[in-house]
Amino acid sequence: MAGVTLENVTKRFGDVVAVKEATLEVPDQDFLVLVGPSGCGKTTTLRMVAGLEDITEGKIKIGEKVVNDLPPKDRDIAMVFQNYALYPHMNVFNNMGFGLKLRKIPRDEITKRVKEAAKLLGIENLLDRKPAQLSGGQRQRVALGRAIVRNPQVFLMDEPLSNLDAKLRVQMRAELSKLHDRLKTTIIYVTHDQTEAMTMGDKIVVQNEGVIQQVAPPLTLYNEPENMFVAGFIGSPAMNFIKVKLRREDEDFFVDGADLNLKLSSALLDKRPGIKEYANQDVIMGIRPEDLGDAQVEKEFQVSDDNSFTADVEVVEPLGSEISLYFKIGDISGIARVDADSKARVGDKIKLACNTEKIHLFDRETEEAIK
Amino acid sequence: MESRNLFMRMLMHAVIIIMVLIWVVPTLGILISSIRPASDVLNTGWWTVFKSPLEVTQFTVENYESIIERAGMGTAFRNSVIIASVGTLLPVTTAAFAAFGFSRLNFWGKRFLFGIIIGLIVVPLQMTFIPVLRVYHQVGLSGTFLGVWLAHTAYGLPFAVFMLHNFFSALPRDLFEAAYIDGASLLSVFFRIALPLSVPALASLIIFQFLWVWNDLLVSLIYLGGTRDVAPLTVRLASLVGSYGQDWHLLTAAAFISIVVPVVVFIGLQKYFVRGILAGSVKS
Repeated sequence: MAGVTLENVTKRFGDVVAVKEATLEVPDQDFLVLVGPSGCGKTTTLRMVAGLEDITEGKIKIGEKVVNDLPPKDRDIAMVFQNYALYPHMNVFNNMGFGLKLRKIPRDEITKRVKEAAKLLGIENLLDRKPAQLSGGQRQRVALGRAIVRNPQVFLMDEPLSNLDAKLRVQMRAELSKLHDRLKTTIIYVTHDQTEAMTMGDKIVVQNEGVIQQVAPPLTLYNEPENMFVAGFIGSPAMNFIKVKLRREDEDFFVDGADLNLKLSSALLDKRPGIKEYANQDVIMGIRPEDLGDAQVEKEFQVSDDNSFTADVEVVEPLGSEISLYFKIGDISGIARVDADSKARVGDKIKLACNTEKIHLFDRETEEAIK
Repeated sequence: MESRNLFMRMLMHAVIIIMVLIWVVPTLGILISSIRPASDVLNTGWWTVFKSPLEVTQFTVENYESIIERAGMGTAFRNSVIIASVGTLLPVTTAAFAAFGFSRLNFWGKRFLFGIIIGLIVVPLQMTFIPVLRVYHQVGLSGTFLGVWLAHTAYGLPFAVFMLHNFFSALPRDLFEAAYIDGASLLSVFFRIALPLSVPALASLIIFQFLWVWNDLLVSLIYLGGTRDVAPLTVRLASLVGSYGQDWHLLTAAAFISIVVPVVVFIGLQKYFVRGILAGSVKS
């Protein structure tokens, strides 16, 4: 078992910088998730750790060993690919045992290890089948099995669940988490799906345009995003952003703009004292859809003029347990996840209540969170 | 709609049956003529055997005996097998290595070199006869099997590299990367992953190359000459037409000997052939 360290790792493809000065510490036995939109450099980062891509600058260590110039086979890692990458001409047993065979492990030992892994993954009855005879979920298990039998120091997983249907994905997500608890091996997991990232990772790395935006546990990312990108990327539906002016009246702070006028809660000001330094400046307000509610049915907090505003309802999406309301204030569109009891209809003017303790403010220039 | 489909199916079947007949009838004619006595061949058509097909006395193997012993078709047959087998395996093996390198390795000048190889596909082989022959005379390769093997390898290589390169390039990159991570070296990736997955492409390439070498007259004639010891079937057959121009019974026997091996090769590999010629055309 070993951790993984990236020190100022940069990768360039010609003039394009795919990963820029990534510095990252993955402690031993951690489940680290790399998440970001397409083309953000997360897969390239993973491939550099695997040794499938050369590093332009920087240093990668697995355990205490610098692996920059080591070929993939000498890094003691195993990788699970997005499209499984099972060898089509070999049956499941040989697919799983291929790596062991190449490493000249005795036959009895290979059989033992493959059978153990197959049992763990519930694919013992599939060992004689070829990949073409398996379903997507079964193939994914075989791909996992192939990684497990090697007993590597680090597992690398490149969007392993993205080819599965929604139901199977949820199931496999839980199984992967259980597997990690049992195997206690360091895992670096790449996904573009923030739900996967939030539910599986001990720690999440959010990347955008080759730059690491924030590294933090899931809830910290959700509650304390470092910048607008992270705030907008984590959480579904995404956070609403509104350009506002931070107005100070004595000891009270208000956000004004786009037909709204909200008073910031004192708890928020205590939590983020930096806000006071932005008094009477233009900032960007961020509020998550789940922190907005229909004032008429809001139960979680007291509604007053200080924490509510009027909006035009444009679309209503009933989801059963709640309703997604697409609204407009002035010329700004937003989304609110309101209680299922809400009677709002398309075209209505309704009062939306805002949990002002959950407001995020960002610098307009740097887009960094104001803390 | 259904009757239209039925009509289309019937039409398709009719076309296929006609095409099969066009191929089978003359071949059957050659086979039957080759096992009939000379007098029968000259006096009646081959189809007359069907009047009493069970009458064994109307058939004979004499034509084969005389063609193999007298006209040296036995030696020619052996020569053809030697030339075609090595003349097929050598270029296909070399091409497999080269194509794998071009599709999976990065090296300086790769695109330029590959461009040259593709360009060589369209060079008419007649252009090479004089310079190659002069070199062959100097190094003593003319009139030898080695000389003709090398010539067939050189002529077949550009297309073989091109075809296998396309096939290897279409194999998913992840498969090779998974193998590298599993601990495979470049050679084991080639032998354990790339080659087993390329059986359809290799089979169709073997068929193409074998048929080309087996049926080749020009290259053999130029580099081997007409000497009996080394001449293949095509060269012998061509000279038979001159010396036995009237002896249809002997010519048909010789022709059938020359047909039989390609047919066996084709039938043996045909299940891969159809998959092979479609190689890489559809994303699986």
